[in-house]
Amino acid sequence: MPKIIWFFAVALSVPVIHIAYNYINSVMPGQSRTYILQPVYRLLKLFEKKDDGDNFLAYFFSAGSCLFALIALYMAVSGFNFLFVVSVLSMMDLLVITGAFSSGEYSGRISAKRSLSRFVIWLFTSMVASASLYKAAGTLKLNEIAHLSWSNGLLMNIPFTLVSLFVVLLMKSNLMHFDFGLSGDETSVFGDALYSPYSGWSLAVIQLAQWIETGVWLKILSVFLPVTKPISYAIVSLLYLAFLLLDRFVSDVDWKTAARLSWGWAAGFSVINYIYLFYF
Amino acid sequence: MDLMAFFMVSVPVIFLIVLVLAREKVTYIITAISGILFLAFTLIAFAIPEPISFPVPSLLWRVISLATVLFIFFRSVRDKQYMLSVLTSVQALIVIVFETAELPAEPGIFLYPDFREKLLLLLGAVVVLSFLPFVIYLLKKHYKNEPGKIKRFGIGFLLLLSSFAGLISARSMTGLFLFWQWQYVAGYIFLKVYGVSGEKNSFHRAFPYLQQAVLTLFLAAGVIAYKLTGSLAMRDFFHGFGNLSELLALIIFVSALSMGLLIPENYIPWLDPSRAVPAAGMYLAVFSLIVPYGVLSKFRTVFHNLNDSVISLMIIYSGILVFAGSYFALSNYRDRHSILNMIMSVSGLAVATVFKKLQSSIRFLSNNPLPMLMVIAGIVLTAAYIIMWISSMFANTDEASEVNGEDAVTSLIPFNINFSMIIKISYAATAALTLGVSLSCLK
Repeated sequence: MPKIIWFFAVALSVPVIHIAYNYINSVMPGQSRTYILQPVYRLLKLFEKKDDGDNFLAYFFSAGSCLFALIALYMAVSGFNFLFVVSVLSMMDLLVITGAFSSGEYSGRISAKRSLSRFVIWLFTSMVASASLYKAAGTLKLNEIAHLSWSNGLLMNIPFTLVSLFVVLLMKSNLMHFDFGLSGDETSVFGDALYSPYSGWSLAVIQLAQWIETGVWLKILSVFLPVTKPISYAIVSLLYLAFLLLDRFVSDVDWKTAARLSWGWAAGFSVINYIYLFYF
Repeated sequence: MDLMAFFMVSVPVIFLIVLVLAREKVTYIITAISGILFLAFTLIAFAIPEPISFPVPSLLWRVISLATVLFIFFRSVRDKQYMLSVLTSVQALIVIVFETAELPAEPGIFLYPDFREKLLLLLGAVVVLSFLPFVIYLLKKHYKNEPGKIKRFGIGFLLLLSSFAGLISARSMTGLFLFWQWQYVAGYIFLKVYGVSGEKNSFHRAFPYLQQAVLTLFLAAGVIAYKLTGSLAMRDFFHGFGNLSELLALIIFVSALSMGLLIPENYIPWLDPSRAVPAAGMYLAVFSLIVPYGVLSKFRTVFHNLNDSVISLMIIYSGILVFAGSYFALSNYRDRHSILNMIMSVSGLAVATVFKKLQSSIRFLSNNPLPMLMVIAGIVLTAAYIIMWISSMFANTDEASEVNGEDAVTSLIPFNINFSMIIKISYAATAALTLGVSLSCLK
């Protein structure tokens, strides 16, 4: 029962975060007032919109990526092995990137190449992080890691690993200096060339998949904090919201600079922590 | 020796003699039948756990070894590859002097696969039979007007089966040397069939020189091992070789890697990519993946006695193989050969697992940060290769203009790093360090 509650709570929390972001953004001076529920409203309008229907593969890739996102979410809330969750998320990425290649559009393929670059970084970071986790905790199961974080203060051994995984979340959301997007301002699927093959309901499904994936990463990060599960999840969500807002004040960088920064902050930090655990 | 092992080695040889004497039309039938029989013998070997004794005088293997070396010698003289002639003449001299002066006793059972080795033989048989239909199809398509090449393929294939069975089943150093030479001859024949002639990527002569040089060292190592332990059987090497343990282990390790084609950068550039991918895949899966693992596993009793530094360096070398295989595959993801580089990547993992659970403080992956990071990088590049390979089926425009002349790796990783140079330096550095540590143990 708690798993089902967590499943829906995490799935719904990310749209709530985006609604909160939208509201705070709209009350800032100089910003136009928008409808508070705009992120959800746009999603629902997409489901109503008729699809172009000229790219059949788009349906397959969008549905497949959403399915894998849901599987990853279930595994994350159930406390499965961290590497299992990562492998399912990598399958999701495979479908999204391959879908962008299938679009036949130049911007889609360029965006797919950049996403593949991001994929290499986050997968490498995750695997090194899992090696560090196993070295420190003796297990990769998320529920056991959460218990060890609560009882043994596991975080003291893997602080850089936590930072690297948080940077992965920022990369996935195209925030701060880790923005790999082709068009810089949106934090949703709209305007991102990676999702150019999709329209109508397939684009809505992709948006859902992206939100669910964000929820998965928030849940993973929450297991490292030495507090109870609901509080740790709330803390990580608030931190994510803070970075969403901070992103408005950070200037855009070109994608190669973003990739280099990602290598340094995500991959580099996870490697540092792993070597530290090995030698000390 | 074990009867089933004898059948697995000798039946392909009998078919080879038939093929040499018969017309090329029977090549396809003979290759198919020999492949099926090989699988059948493997399954029967599983069904009969204890060896069925079949006495074969050890003189026979000595004579065959000498005959093989002399065949390669005369062939090299004919091809004007005089470096090979020198190396094989040294080998012949060692064989003659050693056999005449020492009359060393071979193990009671010259060829016998244990349970793990039977599994490897079964895996090899399945691989061969899986690839064979595609190989025959391409032969019929591209070489129907070249009967000589078809017959050569048949001879090479039969030698492949014999040498594979012999390498996995061998119990002595003599057996490994003999069947490695048969593997060398099989590879030479495949090159004659599938080699691309007259182009800049034509076969590099240095590589067979390297293989024969390494086999010469291996033969010498066998003689030294006999002098130190009084036996040629690997199972009798459990006390090691004293001060020479590291050096001899290094020779064995390098022999397994170089005969498995796990050293050069370009791996298999000299085979015609439009025709040879299934045949190259079959050869590599057997001799680059299964055989190095099987042969190195025979020497685990020797590796138990090694200095931790040497084991660590061998594990690092294996990690380099994992990274290198996936890097070369990703760099050439549009090339049909790219998937064959994955075999080198997996071979690296297979070689590294030989050192798992040895009696040393070094444990594969968990206590070694550097090979762990290389293996992770290799797995990540493999995943990227899969995505690029699948995506290339959907993208129907030329992507060369998009990457501006960069290869796939440098377009994905935004640093100007010459990975190819780093891999070469890593190979050389690890090999040099391993040699240095080995020689330092002679003091």
